[in-house]
Amino acid sequence: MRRVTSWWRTATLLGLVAVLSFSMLAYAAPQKITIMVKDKDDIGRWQVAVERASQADPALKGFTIVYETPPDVNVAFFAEFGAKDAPDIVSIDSFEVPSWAEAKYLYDITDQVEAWDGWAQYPTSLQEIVKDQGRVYALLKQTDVRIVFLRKDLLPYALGSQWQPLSWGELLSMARSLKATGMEYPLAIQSGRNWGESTAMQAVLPLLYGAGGVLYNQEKGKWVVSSNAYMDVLDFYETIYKEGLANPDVPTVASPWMTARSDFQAGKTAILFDGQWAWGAFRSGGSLEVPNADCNVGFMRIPGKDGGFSTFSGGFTWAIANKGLDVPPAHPKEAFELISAYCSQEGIAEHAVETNSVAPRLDAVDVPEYAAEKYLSWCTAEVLPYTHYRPALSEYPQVSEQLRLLVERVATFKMTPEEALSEYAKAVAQIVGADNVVDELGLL
Amino acid sequence: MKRRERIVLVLFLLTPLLTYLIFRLALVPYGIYYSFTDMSYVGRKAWDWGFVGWQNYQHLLSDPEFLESCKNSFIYAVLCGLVGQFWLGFFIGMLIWEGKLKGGIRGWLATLLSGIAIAAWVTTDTAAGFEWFAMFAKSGGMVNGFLGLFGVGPIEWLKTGGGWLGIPTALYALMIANVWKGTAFSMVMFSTGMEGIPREIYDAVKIDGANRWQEYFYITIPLLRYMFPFVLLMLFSGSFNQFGFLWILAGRAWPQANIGIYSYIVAFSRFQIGYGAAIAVVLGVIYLIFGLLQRKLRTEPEIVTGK
Repeated sequence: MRRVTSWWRTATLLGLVAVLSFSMLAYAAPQKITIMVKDKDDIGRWQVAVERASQADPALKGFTIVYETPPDVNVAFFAEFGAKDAPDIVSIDSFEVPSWAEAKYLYDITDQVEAWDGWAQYPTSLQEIVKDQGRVYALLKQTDVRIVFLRKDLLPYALGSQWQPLSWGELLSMARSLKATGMEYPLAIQSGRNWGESTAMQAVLPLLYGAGGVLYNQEKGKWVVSSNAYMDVLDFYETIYKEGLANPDVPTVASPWMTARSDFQAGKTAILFDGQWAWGAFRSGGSLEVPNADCNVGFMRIPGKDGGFSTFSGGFTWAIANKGLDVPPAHPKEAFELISAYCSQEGIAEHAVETNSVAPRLDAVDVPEYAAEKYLSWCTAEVLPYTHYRPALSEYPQVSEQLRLLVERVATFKMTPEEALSEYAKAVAQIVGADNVVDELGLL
Repeated sequence: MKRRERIVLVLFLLTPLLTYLIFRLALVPYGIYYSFTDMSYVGRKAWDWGFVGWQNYQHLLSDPEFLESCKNSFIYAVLCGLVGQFWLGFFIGMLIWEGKLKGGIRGWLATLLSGIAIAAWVTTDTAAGFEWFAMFAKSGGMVNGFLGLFGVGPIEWLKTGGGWLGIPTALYALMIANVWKGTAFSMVMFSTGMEGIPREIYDAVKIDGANRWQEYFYITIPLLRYMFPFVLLMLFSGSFNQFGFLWILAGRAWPQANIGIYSYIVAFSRFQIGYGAAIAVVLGVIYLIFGLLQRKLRTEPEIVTGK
């Protein structure tokens, strides 16, 4: 009898200790939200965003925010996800959104963004860029655009306040008039494999879409391998190189951007297709400073073939991650409050000003600090509404390689536009499968 | 040995052995297993992956990037190890040994030379990689600066296209850097080997009227020949094996620089884990062959003393 009593006593004691220590542990570990950042400078902006979100929802003050800055964020994320301990918020390239969503890494925030007033401020293309199968998985914090730089001081005629060409024809006649002044190569455009992805993003794709074409037909889910728009783009390239408007070395030299940008700086080239960030090199204090850059460098939107404008964008996002495979995040509501605070009108404007990037929200231009950045706010207000985005499909990198080869063959006169497009159509059909292509010109 | 001592000894041995078992050997079966799957880190295949048999291995045979990385690995290992480090190491080893014999200023120079070679050898891959990266810069790099004195260049050293004899320029650059870095091994091996050759043999041929070069040709090289296969194999596999050094110098921009780098890029940059594992398994098999060959080689001299 006595034995039983002592057994009970011990068990009760142990049980009490266990309960006590567990409750103490629970008390000692406050709820936390983990944010994995790629760029350590984002932490400072996060602290501001957390403050902003806590004012709207005081309950957030009960959370500890933990920042993770691993050297290789992707691999660190995969490991933590595998251990069912993924961070709540991650930074990913917009291009990775579909593949991450399909891997079940990302939490679907469609309902949350629809109830959020900031969502409508993103242009349609930038809403689409963070979607997979029609569902939203991330918010863009920053973006970029492609434009045409102009050396206004070298033009042989006086410019009014409006020098924007409204069609390819106007752009070409601008180049021809410069050629007539004796400028050897008035125009520089990405024209080959040596430019890497820039050939697709900075030139071929904006031109293709500006001619009414598409690379990928979303509705049919097929790649367009030939169309009149493709032929228009190739004719445009052929004209440029046949008339000697562009340096024939540019499609093949090892570092073509250096050639093109230093020619632009030196005044050997006056029209340059490039990403908006290239201004950082040309402005005063930049690595390729153009004399009196503020006056002498003009910015033009990439004109469409017969009107309209076109550009391409990418950018980095914040997304909410699942804890692990089929384990949802612990605090999706609070995590969304945080990323929407980061991507608020002020947050986006601050991020853009501090990182010298383009704000993806149209209302960022109403924030005085961003409006003061005349160039960036011009990019947001005037260029971004015309933007498109690359199809984020696994075959894209290989298709892009073919796009580069396509224009390189025309620019170097290895093939006529018809021959080059026919080769391109065959190569893409092989990459994506003959059933997954639209061949409008019947080249296959 | 006392029982107590034995326990302590076993405990000391157990720690590295267990670490090796858990963190290295235990992962090998996983790698082999994944190489037969279509597992990926992104997209649907991150969770919906499965067994695909030999598919990854079949794909290897028709993957131009893999074939290019194989070609580069072999060219690099053969030219660095067999041609560059081996003969350069032999030559420096010879100078050092001569210096030691003569003493004086020559001895002093020999010590300096071996010091420099060993310093290059023990410099960490990271530091050496960055160092050469800076030296190979097209403008402002030391290599082009030096060549500029003779009116050569500037050469774009780390360019992965072009080059001579079908070998990309970047591979030449990597080989120059690696010969610099890895020559000390053969140098140490050979100069030690030379010291082990009995003096009487040299004295004998000297009386017969042999000159310095004949001494090397008829005495030193034949008597050191037993070392050649071993040193060659070590140098070859050492260069074949290289990762960190090449990764820093060129790997990020050149996925096909060698098989190891290509495997890493496929697995951790393109996130095709299954395929990346298959490449790593092929690499593992090649190492295994090196290992087996190495065990077969004799490392004892043929003649210990002059008869």
